[in-house]
Amino acid sequence: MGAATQQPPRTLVGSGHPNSLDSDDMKTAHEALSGPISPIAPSRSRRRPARSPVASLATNLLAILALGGALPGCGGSDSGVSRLESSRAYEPVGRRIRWNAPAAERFGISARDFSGGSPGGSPGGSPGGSRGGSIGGSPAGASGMPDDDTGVTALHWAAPAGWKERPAAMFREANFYVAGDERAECYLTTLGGDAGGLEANINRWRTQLSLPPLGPAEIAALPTLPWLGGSGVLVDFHGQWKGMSGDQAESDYRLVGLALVQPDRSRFLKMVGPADVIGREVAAFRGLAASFHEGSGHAHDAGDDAASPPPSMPPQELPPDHPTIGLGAQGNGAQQGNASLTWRAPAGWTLGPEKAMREVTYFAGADNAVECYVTLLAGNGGGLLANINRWCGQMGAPTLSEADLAPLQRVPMAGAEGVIVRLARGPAATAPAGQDLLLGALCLLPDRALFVKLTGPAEAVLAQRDALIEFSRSLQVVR
Amino acid sequence: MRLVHRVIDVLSSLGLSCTLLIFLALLTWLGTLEQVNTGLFEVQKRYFESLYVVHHVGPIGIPLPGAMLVMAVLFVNLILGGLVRIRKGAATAGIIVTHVGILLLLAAGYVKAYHSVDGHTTLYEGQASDTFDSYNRWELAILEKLDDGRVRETVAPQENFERHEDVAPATLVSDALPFSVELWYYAPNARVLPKGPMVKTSMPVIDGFFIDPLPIEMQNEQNVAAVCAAVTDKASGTRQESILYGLGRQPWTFEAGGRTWGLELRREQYQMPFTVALDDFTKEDYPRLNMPKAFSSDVTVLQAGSKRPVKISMNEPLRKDGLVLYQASWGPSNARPGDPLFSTLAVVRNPADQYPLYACIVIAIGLVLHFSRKLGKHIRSQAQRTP
Repeated sequence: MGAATQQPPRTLVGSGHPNSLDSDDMKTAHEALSGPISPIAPSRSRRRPARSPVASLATNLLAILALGGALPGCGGSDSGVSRLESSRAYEPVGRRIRWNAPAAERFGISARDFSGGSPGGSPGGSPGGSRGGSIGGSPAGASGMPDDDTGVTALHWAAPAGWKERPAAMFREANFYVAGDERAECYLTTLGGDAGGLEANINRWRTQLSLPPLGPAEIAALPTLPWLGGSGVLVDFHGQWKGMSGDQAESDYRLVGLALVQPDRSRFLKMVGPADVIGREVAAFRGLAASFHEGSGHAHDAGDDAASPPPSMPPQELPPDHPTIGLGAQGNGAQQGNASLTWRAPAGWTLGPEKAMREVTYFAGADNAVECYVTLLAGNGGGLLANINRWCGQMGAPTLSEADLAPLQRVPMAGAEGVIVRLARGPAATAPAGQDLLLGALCLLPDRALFVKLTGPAEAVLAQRDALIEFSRSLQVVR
Repeated sequence: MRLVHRVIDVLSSLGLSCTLLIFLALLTWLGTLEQVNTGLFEVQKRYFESLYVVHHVGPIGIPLPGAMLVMAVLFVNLILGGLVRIRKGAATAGIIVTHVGILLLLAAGYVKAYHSVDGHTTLYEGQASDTFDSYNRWELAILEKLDDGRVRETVAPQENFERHEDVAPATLVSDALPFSVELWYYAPNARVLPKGPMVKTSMPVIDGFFIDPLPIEMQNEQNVAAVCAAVTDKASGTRQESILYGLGRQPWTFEAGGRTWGLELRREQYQMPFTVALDDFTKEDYPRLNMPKAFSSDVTVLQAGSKRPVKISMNEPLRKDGLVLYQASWGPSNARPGDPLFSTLAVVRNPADQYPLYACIVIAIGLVLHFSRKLGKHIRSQAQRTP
């Protein structure tokens, strides 16, 4: 074992204990391992034969392992019988215990006929007819307490025209063939809790379409719709359909979905099928989503239109010959809205696709050359002047000062006073080509900042000036 | 007697100290690597809260002492070598004090491991709670409906049923209960599915549902347990069965002994000596972004008829009655302006909360003592050498 074993035993002096790293005496750990050291002070030490460091280490290791192996056996046997001793009586705080809750409610899923039976509405379905349905057994959580004696919150909907309603199946509480096409499906799923979270579920959908997962920031930027008392996240994906088991390969598929993930209950409305079929039915999907509502005491028989959607979100239909523009629909003067805002779109404006950071987008003018969108930011959004000057930078226009704001036209917006700005394109513009003129309406609310931006060719934008003011006047913040 | 001396020699040796420290370093390294495969919670249990661990390198299993064992032996080693057998005197005073500090640090770890609890309470504005829930542990609660609107609760900890992952049941009995409880097919992570005609399962189907076990998630907080439960009335022998699910919002209700009872599987719940009511949750975003700059909860602490308003923010926890309530998170993450938000307060009860600070102070004092003496000695020796 080399020189180390030839050395005489050494003892620690100074600190008197091996654990002390007494540099003065140079009996360091390294030294200790390189030669045997008596563990106690010389005056009390009992010399012992020199041992190699490897042998010492091995002894220590074996002792530790033996101790580790022996101790688990000291825990006693597990007979499988446990005696419960203490109990306490208390008044539940912050919780309402519902005795005799049905199993479906306890598990957070619908126990409704999973053996192939029908939902509350009639099974089957007649293509071409608008139908309604309802189910019970939805869990009652913090946001949806039961509304009848059975403790069951019923869910109702109005089936889109031309869709074929199918019997409910496992995890499919409302279940359809889209436009009667058996390649395209749409169904509603309710799960207890957050069902794994929004990100996991959206990325599961993307995986089914052979798409890479989205990151948290991209998920957060997805558009939302008011849905069943919450804010549903809307997705629209296009890819190769692998199916839920990953054993299919259908190209050119499209998935439009709405996900409402909440701590106590989550709901998912998913429409998937060939892109051409889905593309024609997006407005119908949106109408179906809007028609879902909870409540009891009103059945929805075939042809019953009682399951009308909330007034803030009417079903929207594209004209048959209209090109698909996202979830497009034309402005019809009726009050529309989402979870944050309501508005009346001027006649001739066409609803554009959902985009991140935008409450709504419209197109107007010939060839939809003018784009108008609304942004609602928390706080003051950086302030009016900073945002106007940001627009100035985009348009290559000279920046404004506070004094320049005073003479600008005012318009009532969302209960506050909005400012109308007009910025012409300059040589240093960074805005996309074709945006020759910007008309904007901005206002600061107590806790939010509201922006309406309208851009496009100069003449086309000017032609929409009154419409912009009319639109801005119609904006109301949902409180 | 020689054997006793020999054992004490080994337990107090520097060689053992070094061996233990090497093991600690090795366990930390291997445990960190293993986190990639099994997640933090599982690694903590296997490597750091155990007496032994088998670390797998490919197909080969390497037995190692667990960090709990290593630290326990190190504790004994420090006491024997660093306090009992060390030569006492001015020369070793600093060393002894330093050892006391290290022992205090180890004691803090023990107290944290065995006598602390942590969890969370999640509240929407207007809601109140006097309990907080564990992130990781489950328990079975037997609830008795009392006539005055209150509930009497008897709780069985996870250890009473977690090993019963197959048909062999765990049985819970109590003289105060008119029934016994059997639990079987415990699944640490599962979902509960309705049994349709096309669904095949080997699990028992109860009330049209069955437990579908899922792989364990690396982030243990995401695991949701489920278990099959049966109660047998002691008087009549009547047996009733159901499935208990960790995500269940309401208890399974049954009648026994002429009274109404509930059974629920839930995150282990801890009682607070006071009630916290969330009055207002404030989230301040960065300008033009939805990224929160700061968030805080204005709560009212209610205790014995008194009310005290407190603001809990990210770096300003509420410390009260041995509990520390931190502002941990908020949600829902997809909330839009104006949507109601919930606030999650992390709650920690750790009697050794401040021990590490005290330990560091003691260690610092010991080291200052020791090295001051060494410095003085060095200066004196240099002065003597100077002609």
